[in-house]
Amino acid sequence: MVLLLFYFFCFLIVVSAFLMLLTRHILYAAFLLLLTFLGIAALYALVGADFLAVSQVVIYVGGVLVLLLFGIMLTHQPVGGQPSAAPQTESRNLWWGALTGIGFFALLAQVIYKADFTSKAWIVSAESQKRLLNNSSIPHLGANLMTHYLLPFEIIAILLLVALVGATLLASRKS
Amino acid sequence: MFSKNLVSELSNQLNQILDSLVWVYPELVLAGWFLGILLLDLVWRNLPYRILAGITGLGLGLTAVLVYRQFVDFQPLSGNLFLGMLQLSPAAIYFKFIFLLCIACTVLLAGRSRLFRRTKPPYAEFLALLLAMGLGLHLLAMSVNLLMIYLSLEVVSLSSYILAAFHFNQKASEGSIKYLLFGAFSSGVMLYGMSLLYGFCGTLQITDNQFVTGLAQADGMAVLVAGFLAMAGLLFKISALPFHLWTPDVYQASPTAVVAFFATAPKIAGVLVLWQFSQVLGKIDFWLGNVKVEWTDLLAVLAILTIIFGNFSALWQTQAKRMLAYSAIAHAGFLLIPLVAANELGRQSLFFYLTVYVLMNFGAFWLVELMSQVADYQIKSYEGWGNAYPILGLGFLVVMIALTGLPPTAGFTAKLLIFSALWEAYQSSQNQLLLVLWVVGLLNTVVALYYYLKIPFYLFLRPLPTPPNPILTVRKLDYAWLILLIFPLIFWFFKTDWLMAMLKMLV
Repeated sequence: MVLLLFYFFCFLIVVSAFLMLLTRHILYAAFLLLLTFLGIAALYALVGADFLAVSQVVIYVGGVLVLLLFGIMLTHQPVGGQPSAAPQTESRNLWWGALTGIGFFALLAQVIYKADFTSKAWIVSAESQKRLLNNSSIPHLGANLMTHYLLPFEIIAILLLVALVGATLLASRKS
Repeated sequence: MFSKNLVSELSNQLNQILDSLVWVYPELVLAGWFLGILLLDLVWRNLPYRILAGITGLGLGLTAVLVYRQFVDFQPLSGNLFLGMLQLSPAAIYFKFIFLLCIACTVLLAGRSRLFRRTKPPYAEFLALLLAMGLGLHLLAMSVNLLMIYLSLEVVSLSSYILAAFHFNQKASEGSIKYLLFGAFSSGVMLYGMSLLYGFCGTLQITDNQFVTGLAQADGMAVLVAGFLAMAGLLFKISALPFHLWTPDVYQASPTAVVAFFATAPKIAGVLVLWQFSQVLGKIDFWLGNVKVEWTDLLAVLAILTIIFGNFSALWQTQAKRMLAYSAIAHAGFLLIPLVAANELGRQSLFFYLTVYVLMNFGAFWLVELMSQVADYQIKSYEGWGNAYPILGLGFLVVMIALTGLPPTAGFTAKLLIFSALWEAYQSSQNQLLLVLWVVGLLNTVVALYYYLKIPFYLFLRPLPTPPNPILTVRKLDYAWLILLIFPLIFWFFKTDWLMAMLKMLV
């Protein structure tokens, strides 16, 4: 049953991501992105990362994507309801691009296949101790965020401030 | 809710974190100054550059003093900080000084820059971002954890994207957006590689034993690919192939002071992390079927490609900053050579090369910026100015010779050291690829001679077009800085031992 759900959500993610590449209509792409995000949240939930699944929905679906949709709807005005005309730049190196993409995909697929994660010592030991699925991950996340990952936590604060300063700076200066 | 056991463990961990705080005072000061300058700008708008730069200088000085205290108080036991996130080493302390020097040079060069003054960019943000970048670099030099490496690299990158746009014109936005796109791509690739590495060994800490054993047990090809992907962000920062594409455009479009900084400090930090990374991965033999591949083979191939590409593209450049961009790519290749050698001499030669590299680069960009008063960075328009301003011309000559790697400059010594380290590694391993790299490196030094000496050639051997309509103003401060930057380049050629003796202590 779980396996079936897993494949269903995988299918959802891959298909919506692929359609996103094919569609010319930016609004459709945004909605397809919504499906991808939701599918990823479901995958998180399936592996027992409850907190991660909820934050994926709250931040990506609830925050980022809604902002994106607002941005598109407020700025994008297709002429006569039609998707806008062809992009201004011509698409070049189509075949080479496709070839590199597929080649890279094959390489990565082979790497993951060869890596054989299920037999890794640390994963086997974690599985045997039943640490993975039974408990909620939130207490551990909280404790680790304030101990082992305290420094990264603080550095992210600086990182976000830098991004904020940069965004306001670039937005406020008209060239 | 928590058991007693867990509570005592947590309090133990918190105590360790509190103890670690003592060793990050320099970084705390940098972070504080970053916030302070932003606040200052909110309260008093439009402070002149001189005052803000003075305040920044104060912060840098204080940081330098604290870093010096670290150097004095350092004990090998005090290394492991924040439960294994950072590791303090003498080498990290030494390069923290170098980063501070780079920031100070950038602040001065930006104040000197004419174009920078005319367009009146927001000074406070410029200095604050420089300080944030300094913080990222300091942390990067100490990071031994994949998460920390990624985060501090992102702090450096995000600040860079913004600083690259500081001319606020179309060209600058173009360069900056290109930088951002390539940067985002390479850090995405890097994260992918890191997550694979985590999957192999179940720990993020690269100095951990579990990390090495986990990688050694995993499939050879998988680790090789994952390791290469995880290097992507670092290769991007040092502008090595195949992540070099941003370099020429960003160098051309960004303020010279910023470019000089990009060419030095992030590159050093990137190479330092790469060094640590390849120390770990170098311990492992990878088997692809029946062929044994070593980590250094991969690096050697990258170095060969980078050196050849950088040098031969630089040959056709007519614009000084673009030429220096391709030279930076070529130097990235040379910086990979000690990593390929991966021996004790390699470590020392790498530190020597990096130290000299900072001086050469700031010297070169300072001179280019001075010349930009009379020329739009075109090498052709340097005609004859060397005879009119002999000291400037001489400075150019010394810096360009040092960049090529010829005596009597420390640039030669640096190249000599890295090539001897590589030769030593070849002797002990008999790996043909190292020999190829050695030959390619030497031949390319000859190629480099042609494009580097083009500048002194135009300066001295062409007549000044009469009458020289724009006037070149060189202040006493410029001379002082140039002498400070260029004098060690010659001095360390004759007294190599002085610097080497210090670098040998940085174990």
